[in-house]
Formats: sequence, structure tokens, C-alpha cells
Amino acid sequence: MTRKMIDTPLSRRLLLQSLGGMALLPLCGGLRVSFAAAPGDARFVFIILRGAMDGLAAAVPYGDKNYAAVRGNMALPKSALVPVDNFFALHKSFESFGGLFKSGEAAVVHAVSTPYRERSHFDAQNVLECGAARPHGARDGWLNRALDVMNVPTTTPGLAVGQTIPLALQGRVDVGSWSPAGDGLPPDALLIALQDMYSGDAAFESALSQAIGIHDIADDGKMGGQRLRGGNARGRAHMESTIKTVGKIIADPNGPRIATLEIGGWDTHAQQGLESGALANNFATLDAAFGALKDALGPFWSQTIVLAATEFGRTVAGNGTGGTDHGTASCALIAGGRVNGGKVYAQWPGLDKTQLHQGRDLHPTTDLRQVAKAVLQSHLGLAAGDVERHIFPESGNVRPLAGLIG
Amino acid sequence: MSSIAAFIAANRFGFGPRAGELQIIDRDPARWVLGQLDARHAVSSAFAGLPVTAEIVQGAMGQQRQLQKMKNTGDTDENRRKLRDMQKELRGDFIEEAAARTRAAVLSPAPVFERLVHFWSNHFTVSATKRQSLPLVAAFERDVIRPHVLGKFSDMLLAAIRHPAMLTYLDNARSIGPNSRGGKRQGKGLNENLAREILELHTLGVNGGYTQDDVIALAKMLTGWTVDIAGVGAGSGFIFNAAVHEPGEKPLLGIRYPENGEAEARNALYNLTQHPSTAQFIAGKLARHFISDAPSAAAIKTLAQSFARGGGSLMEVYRTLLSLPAAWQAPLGKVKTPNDYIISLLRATGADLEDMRLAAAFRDLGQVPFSAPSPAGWSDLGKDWLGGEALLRRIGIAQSLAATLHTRITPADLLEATIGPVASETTRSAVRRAGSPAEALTLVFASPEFQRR
Repeated sequence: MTRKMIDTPLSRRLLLQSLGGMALLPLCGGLRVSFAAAPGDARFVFIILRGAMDGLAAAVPYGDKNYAAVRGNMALPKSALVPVDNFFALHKSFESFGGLFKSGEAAVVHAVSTPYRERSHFDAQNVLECGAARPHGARDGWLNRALDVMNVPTTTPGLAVGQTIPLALQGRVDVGSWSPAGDGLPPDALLIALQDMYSGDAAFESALSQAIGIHDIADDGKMGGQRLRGGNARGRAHMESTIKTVGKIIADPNGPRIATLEIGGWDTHAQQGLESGALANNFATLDAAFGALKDALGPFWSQTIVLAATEFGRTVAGNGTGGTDHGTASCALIAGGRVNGGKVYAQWPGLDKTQLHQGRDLHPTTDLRQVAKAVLQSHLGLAAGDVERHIFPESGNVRPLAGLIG
Repeated sequence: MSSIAAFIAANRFGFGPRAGELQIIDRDPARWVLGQLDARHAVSSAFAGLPVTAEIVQGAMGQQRQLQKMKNTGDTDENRRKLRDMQKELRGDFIEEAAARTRAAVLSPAPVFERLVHFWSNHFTVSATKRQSLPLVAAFERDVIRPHVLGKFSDMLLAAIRHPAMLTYLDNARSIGPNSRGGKRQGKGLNENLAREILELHTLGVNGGYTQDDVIALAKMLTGWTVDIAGVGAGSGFIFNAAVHEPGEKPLLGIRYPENGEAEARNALYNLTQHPSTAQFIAGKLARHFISDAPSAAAIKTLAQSFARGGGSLMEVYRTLLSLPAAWQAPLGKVKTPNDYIISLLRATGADLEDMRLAAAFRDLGQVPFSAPSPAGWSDLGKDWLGGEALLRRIGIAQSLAATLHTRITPADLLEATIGPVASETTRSAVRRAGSPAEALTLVFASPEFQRR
């Protein structure tokens, strides 16, 4: 049998549906929605900072009278700081984020942590991603459950930037992944045969159909790297070119509503540096993600929120090797058109030895779920009851952070 | 046609069959697996001419001295060229090492042994993602993992922790007892990283019952365990530097360890291997790796009991594993990792890729040898490897391999020789109906049955 190929992305999707012999993608995505419309149009990008970011080096409480003494050799010099008020300063690597902060489109939430209080990266990331009050308390991710409740009529409501889907986005709702090094889809004839063959294996079937959905939107980018690693100027440039395509995918009217991005390299046990160095480089990469997202999203920026969070913080004092060990509270960075920005949200716990968690870590005073709940309810328009029942179990006494989203 | 047990033996415990191998395995699948648990397989001709740990440490130190000299002479064209050459050499060595590791698995008459090497190498992850560890990670597997795969867990743990790759990867080489002579003089201190990961990832497991105080106690015991950069030790690359060892008694998990220098951590590591949490943790990992993403509690318990009974004798645990009914049931439950998928393809086809192409394949699929993203190692779970993009990359590799092989391999024969015992009618008919031999071959390589085990 010969098959006629039609060479435009959209008709290709239709073609595959009709020839593939199976319902590949629900085609509700055809309708075009205007920018300002429905609440279902809002976008949320969650940046997972793996390895435990040193929040005290990102947003620095230089006005705390104990800061210099307790941080010791890890205290940042004035030249590394850009004050945002008379108490907090941003590390100077945050050029773009600092600009957004000034224009009221970005904020910092400080002394924040998940409910997890031990110091294992892997359990802590599990809590950060599954949304339960303890490790492995849920089998799927809170973002996927949010998509389930939102029930938006697009083909790929969730997008993981990277080859694999992080737990935060895993679950019942089919989500896509896109990674910059992709070679694109195989030829149509092979694709159809593969669809046939995978019809007997649900996991392979769903992986292939989501890949096709994503590639219909973004068929071009070509750059290396599985999980985006931080770095120096190259890290920054790489992030910017990746985000260019990611922004295009997200800003499609039928694009994903929730996207995840992962940045590793935060586990700075040794030689993390001060004004410059490994940590400063990683800050610059993260900063580039914020700046590039704003540029790439264009008018969609006004209905997008970007939140960067990590699994826990690091010790207040430096260790013996120019680094910091696993701690508790850190900070979260949030930006977007709808953020009530230009301020640091913090119930500051203080840095006196007696005020530290177990005498060594920044004491957590805000639950990261408060931030997430503010985003889910005030930005994505979910009902409080749904959030409590389906998204963050056992979080009845965790209130959305007031005033964060305007 | 061969049996399902032969398919399980070849894929679940090996890297997939070579041409004609399924029939051989089928004579007695369990014996085929057990017969490979033989210490002579620790040595492979694939590693001929590659350096041992101490040589690499000395080479790295020579480079360090050269770099220092270059720093002193400034940013000249000649220095830039030298630096480029050094980096090129480092990269070249790494690619050669990664290819040697893969060939050892592809060509081995004992793929089961090689699977165990990869399993334990992943359990004791050291990663080239850290610059200082990069030159050492391959030698770590050769010098630490391979000789101990059939021995005692306690011996492997000790060798792994003392190896320069581990000491640098988890920062212990720089950890200094704050009250030691060296600590007082330099004002430097402890680094908890290695101690924490020993407890969390190598022995007890995260819920194994230790506290932050235990982490600190073990970190103190480990002060002084460092890399023999001067080349004055016994030639293993390890040396104990008493001048930075934290003095005093250290209580760990309710046991008091009096001041005893290097022997403190040595004793503590041994005691950790005899802890019930360690037996449970290792049993769970083995079951997840070899049997199922969600093994039964009963299977884990049986393995843990075997581990405890034998005091960590690994041969005994493997025998128990192979005697579990679950080990021989429910084929296709697990998805091969990219590493294992690539090795399966090469075994099945007899293809040999040149080093650079091999390196590109691993990079494309997101699992470069010796380069796990964190000390927890690579995931053992199918869901972490079966994203849409990841599947497309596998299909891409299947396609390019098929493009070069379709003239000499018949798709129907390859199907029988690899997934014959488990191939579904859907897969068979897709292969039969393919538009070309290359497409048919691609479909066999990309079939769920070929990618599962």
C-alpha cells in the first residue's frame, strides 16, 4: 500500500490519526483562543533547582546584624550585592531577575521550605515534586494533579523541558517532553508502523503520541544536553537559546499550561565561590532562564508565572572546604506579569545561633506549598477545595501566601 | 523456538542474546546464569593497556604541576595550545574508557557478570560530571568493583570508599578535623558529604535509622582518608593523613568508637555492612534492578535474610535471587536503561561502532557511562527512561543501525533470535508489513519487547 504524504505539520497530525488506525491525540486543540480570554489560558513554569540552592547567597539578608558573623568566610562582600531594600540584596549575578524585581514583576520568598525536615536530596526532591507532606506520600506529581483538575482542552497540557519527565509532572494526565537536542520525528511511514506496533503496549504508545504532539509545535531547535546544567557564559547562552524554543511552545495558543525546567549543579559542598565562581555561574544560568522566558513569551508574559524552587537550603555557616552542607530553609524566586513584585516576602527568622534550625540552618517560616497554592488558586484559577483535596494532601492549615499574586 | 525462561535469562540477567545464543541458553537457563558467576571474568581483554588508579593519580598530579607552571608564565599562545592539548587528551582518554567498558559488556561470554559490575558501579556512583573525579571513574570500576563483585559486600564498600574517585567525588579528600593539628593550623573543617552518602546511599538507606549526629560522627572518623597525591602510599591511590584526623571518641549508631586513627572508619564501615537496614536496602535495590520496578515485599525479605545470613556474601545473595520464583516470571516488566539498550543492540547484531559514534549514542540517549547526574546513580525505574523524547532518540538509533545492517541481517531471523519467545502478534505483524527491510529491522530494534526485559 502506498501512502500519500502531506507536508504540513497540522495536516500531518490529522494524517497520522486517520492512517495510524488509533485515536492518537484528542483534537480539541483546533480552536484558537484569544490572549486575554479565559482563566484556562494562564501559564505556569516551574523551575526545579536540583541539589539544594544556597538561598542565603541568592537573596542575601545583609541587614541582619548577625549575617557577617554567622556566615563567616561565606559572607558575600558588598561588591557582590545589589540591595533591593535596606535588609535584603540579590546576588549580582541576577541581572535580568533584578531588573524584573525593580519593575515590580518579580519577588523573592525567603526562609521557605517544603514540609520535609531531613537532609536527603532525593527524599527532599520527592517531597518537592509529589506535593505530599512526606517522601513518597504520593505516587504522582502535584503539577500533573493540577492539570487533571484544570482539564484544559489542549493536546499536551503539560511540558517537561528535558528528555525525561520529572516526578512533579508525572501522573494520569498525558504530558509531553521536549529537549533541545532532538533530531525530530522519524519519517511518516515508519511513524505509522511504530504507532501500530505500540498499540499493544500502553507505556510505549503514550510516550510516542506525546512526542508527536510536541514535535508538531516545535520542529526545529538543535542543541545538546539532557538535563540543563548550569555553567558560565556558555551556560547562560545555552539556556537562552533553549528558552527561545520553549517560549515558542508555551506561547502557542494551544500550548502547554504548565511546564517544568530542571537546573542542576546546586550541591555546592566545596569551593562554591563568592562574587564569582561555581555558584555565581549557576545563578547566572537561572537568571538567564527568567530573562529569556520574558523575552520569548512576548504578550503571554502577562499571564505567565515562573517559580524557581529547590529541595532545601544549605548550612548558614560555611564548611571546612569553602562550601556549605545540606540545610533546611532556602528562598524561592518568582516572576511574571501577575506577581506583586518588588518585594521580599519573608517572616524573617533571624540568624542568631539560637534562632537557627537545629543551631545550623535557616529556620523555615514559610511553607513552599503556600507559594504554590497562591499560584494555583490566584493565577491558575483552581478552587481552594480542589487544591486541598487533590493537589496538596494534608495541607489544610497551609494558607496561600497572601498578596503574592495580584 | 526457545523458551520464555531463555529470554528472561538473556535479558533480565544479561544484556540480551547474541545471534544463536538463545538456543544455547535454553538447554538450562538457570545454569547459564549461575555458570557466569566466576571470578575469572573480573579480567577482560577489553581493558588491555588501560592505566590503573595509582598511575592516573600521578598523571593528574603531573598535569597539575604543568598547569601551575603555565599559570606562572601567563596567558601565552603556547600555554593556550598546551591547555587545549591537555583537555583533548583528557576527553580522548574518557571516550576510550567508555568504549572499553561497553565492549567488555558486548563481547563478554559472561554478560551476567558484566551486569553485576554495572549494578554495583551504579550503587557506588562516582561521576565524571565532577571535573576532579573524571580521570578516575573508569579505573574505579576496574580496580574496585570488578574484583569484588562475587566477594563480600564489606570488602567492596571499603575499597570503594578508599578509592581516589570516591574521595574526590564526595569531597572527603579535603575534609579536615577541626581539632586536628592540620585543622587548627589552617582553620579549615569537616565536609559531611561522603559520610552522609555512605549512610544514605551505600549502606543503611535513607530510612535506615541514622541521625544528623551519626553523619557528623562518621565524617569525623573519615577525616584523614584522602588521595595519595605524593605517591608515597601502598600504590592504591589512598593514604591516611593522621595530621588532619579529628581526635577523640565518636559515637555512631549507639556504638562508641574510641580514638583509633584510620581504623575507626574501617571498623565503622564494617559494622554498617552488618546492620539489618543495610541488608534490607541492598535487597530492595537488587530486586528492583533484576526483578521488577515494584518487587514484592516477600522477595525483598528473602533476599535481605540471605544477605544477613551470609554476612554480606554476595554469591549467596545472587543464588537466592536466582532461586526466587519471581525472578523467572512475568517477562517484559522492566524497561532497559539506555546503557543496556545500546549494549543489547550491539550484542544482537554483532555490530561494532567506533568510539566516537558509541559516545554519541550514549549522549543522545542521556546516559553517558560513568556520568550519573548525582551520587544516587541512574534510576532503575522504567518511567524515568520512557519519556517521549527519549523514545524518539531510541528510535533514531534503531533507524541508523538498521540503515547500515539491513543488507546483511534478515529482520525475521533477528526477531526470532532476540525476542522470539515473547514477541506479540502485533509486533510480528508490524515487522511483516514493513515497507522495506530497513524499516522492518528498525521495528524489531524499536519494539517494546526488544526494549523490555
